[in-house]
Amino acid sequence: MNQRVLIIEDDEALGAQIASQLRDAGYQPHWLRDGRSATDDAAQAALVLLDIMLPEQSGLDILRSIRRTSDVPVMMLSARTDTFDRVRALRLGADDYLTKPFWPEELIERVKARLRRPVMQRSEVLDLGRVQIDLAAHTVYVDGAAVPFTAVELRLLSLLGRRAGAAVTRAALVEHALDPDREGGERTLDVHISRLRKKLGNPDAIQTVWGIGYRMVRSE
Amino acid sequence: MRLRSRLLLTSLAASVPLAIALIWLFRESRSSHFDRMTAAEVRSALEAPGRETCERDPATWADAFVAGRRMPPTIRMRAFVYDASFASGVAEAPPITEASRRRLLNGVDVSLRTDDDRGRIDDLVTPTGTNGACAFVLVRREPSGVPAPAPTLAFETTLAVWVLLVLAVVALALGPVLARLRRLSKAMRLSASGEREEVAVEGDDEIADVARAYNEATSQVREHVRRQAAREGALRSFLANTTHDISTPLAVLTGHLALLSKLVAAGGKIEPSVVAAAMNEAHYMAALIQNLGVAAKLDAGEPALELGPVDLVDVVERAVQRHRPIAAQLGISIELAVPAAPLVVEADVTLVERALGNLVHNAVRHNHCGRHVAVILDGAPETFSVRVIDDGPGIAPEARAALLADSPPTSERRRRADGGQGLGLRIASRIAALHDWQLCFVPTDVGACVELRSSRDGAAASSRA
Repeated sequence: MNQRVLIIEDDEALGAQIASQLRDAGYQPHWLRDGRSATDDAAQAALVLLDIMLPEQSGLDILRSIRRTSDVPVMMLSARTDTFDRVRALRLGADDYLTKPFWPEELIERVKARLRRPVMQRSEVLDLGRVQIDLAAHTVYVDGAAVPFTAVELRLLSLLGRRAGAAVTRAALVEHALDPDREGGERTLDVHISRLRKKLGNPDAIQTVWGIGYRMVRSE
Repeated sequence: MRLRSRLLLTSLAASVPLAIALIWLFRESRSSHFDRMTAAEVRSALEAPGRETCERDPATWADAFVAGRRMPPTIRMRAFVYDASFASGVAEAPPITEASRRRLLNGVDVSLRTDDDRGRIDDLVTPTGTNGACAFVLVRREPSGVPAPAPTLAFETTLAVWVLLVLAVVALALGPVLARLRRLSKAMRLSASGEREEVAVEGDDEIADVARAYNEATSQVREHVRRQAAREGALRSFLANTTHDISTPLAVLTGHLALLSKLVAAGGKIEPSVVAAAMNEAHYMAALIQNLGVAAKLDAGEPALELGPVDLVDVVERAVQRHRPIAAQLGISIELAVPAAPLVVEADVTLVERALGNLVHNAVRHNHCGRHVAVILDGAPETFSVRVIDDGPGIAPEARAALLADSPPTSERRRRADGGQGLGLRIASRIAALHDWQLCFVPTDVGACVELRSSRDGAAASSRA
């Protein structure tokens, strides 16, 4: 990663913690205690973490000043929980708003989400590592070899494959992939999933998610 | 100075000069009328053969002119004739001043008024238009010395009487008005001291408008004061509750940290369970502080919702994200399922996050290692459903209704002994009600399922699960 993240936080303990957490997550933190050079430094950063309550200058004023010259993503850090403050920050150009206290993992996840480049899945081929699903040709390749799947199985795979990494509910799978009159409902879903796992040759390719349904993961 | 005195004085100050002006105008117009009439009569008397008579024998003409005029017995009229050099053949003829002569020579009538001990004397001098012995005629009206008959009511007296009458009527008419103003003033004092809420509105005039305006103003002030008092009460309550409720988990956290410190100092292994417990307390305190803040606002009659478009997919993802670290520490699996597309509703984003956060927090905190929590968002903006399911110990049916009861949280209720779920669930329930949503327990065989849904057919969305 090594993307530069600008931190503007006056609290020594919190600022040091955030810088350390970002460094551990593979980012390159640059920490300012006030907003004096914020506008110039923001131009070099991939993301700005900006505390709202700074001693000499309001975080919102710094945000305004950054926004005059840059579209860099800005995440506000604040102990204030009023919707009014949050909406005001978002209207001034903030991209996200994280209220204190927060766990380091939550901060890192939000930073990652903000910096993640969206993957535009334009092609009709879903690449899931060992498994490729050609939606146009209705063909599934496992380790490069075409494997026959029934129409129901293809529909299930397409649904799970398009949302790889995310859990899909049983109800959604039944609604969009099964015909209740022919393929049955939720009771037969498990049977179909079991068959899918066998054909994919990897029981972990489709994970059972407790309380929800199933999730397809990329398998290497 | 009181209003009645001020009004009377003002009326007097206005009416006396007015009366004087009217009297002066009356007198002047009467004199002007006399002058015009007299000048016309002189000219008429000087028409032929009168002019020849005047030129030949001015004194005789003058006597004849006066004899032909009717005057009241108190007035005597005399006439004097002057030649072109302002000389008269009559010794008693009044002299004509230089200033008057200049005007007369310009053909302008001159009228003079003088007063002596007998009374007012009016003189009118008019040029005749000739240069002979009868060049100017002076007509004098003066008191005759005959005593005036029984006094009659002159114009001036009549006017003075009318002015006084009007003043008296004004003074009387003010009475009821001043009485109303005094009653209004008394009522306002009673209202200001708190003995009465509103003042009575009598009639439909400007005084009634003042009373109405006062009532509106005091009503707004009272409402403002009430809200201020409520806010201050909420703040005091928040401070008191926070101090009380935070102290225990803080003490527990202190204990965990002390234990960790001992372990580190002794070179021993840091037990993950101790770390997990410490994190759990910190997480609980963070949620508690935020919940107490929201509770204080809700109890104070705030907030007015800051409505805006809220993507529930984002909110659910953030709520799960926030609880992943503590769930991992406790050995609890937490998963979520959301639609692929945004699900945007009109809501207060902070309150909705708080409500969902509380539900997820409860599911994680009151669960056991190795168990599960699932958060499922389903449906459409008008018919959405968010379910938080866990396979923990669950909540006894008899306790569920009390946990969702919409009553202000009290320090007795906020006990950790009831699992501490009360405050979080009550706040979530109130937030749902503010948005016209529903929060309810869905029957399950194992654990608990709490559902937050829109009020319109939200059940339809959840029934598909």
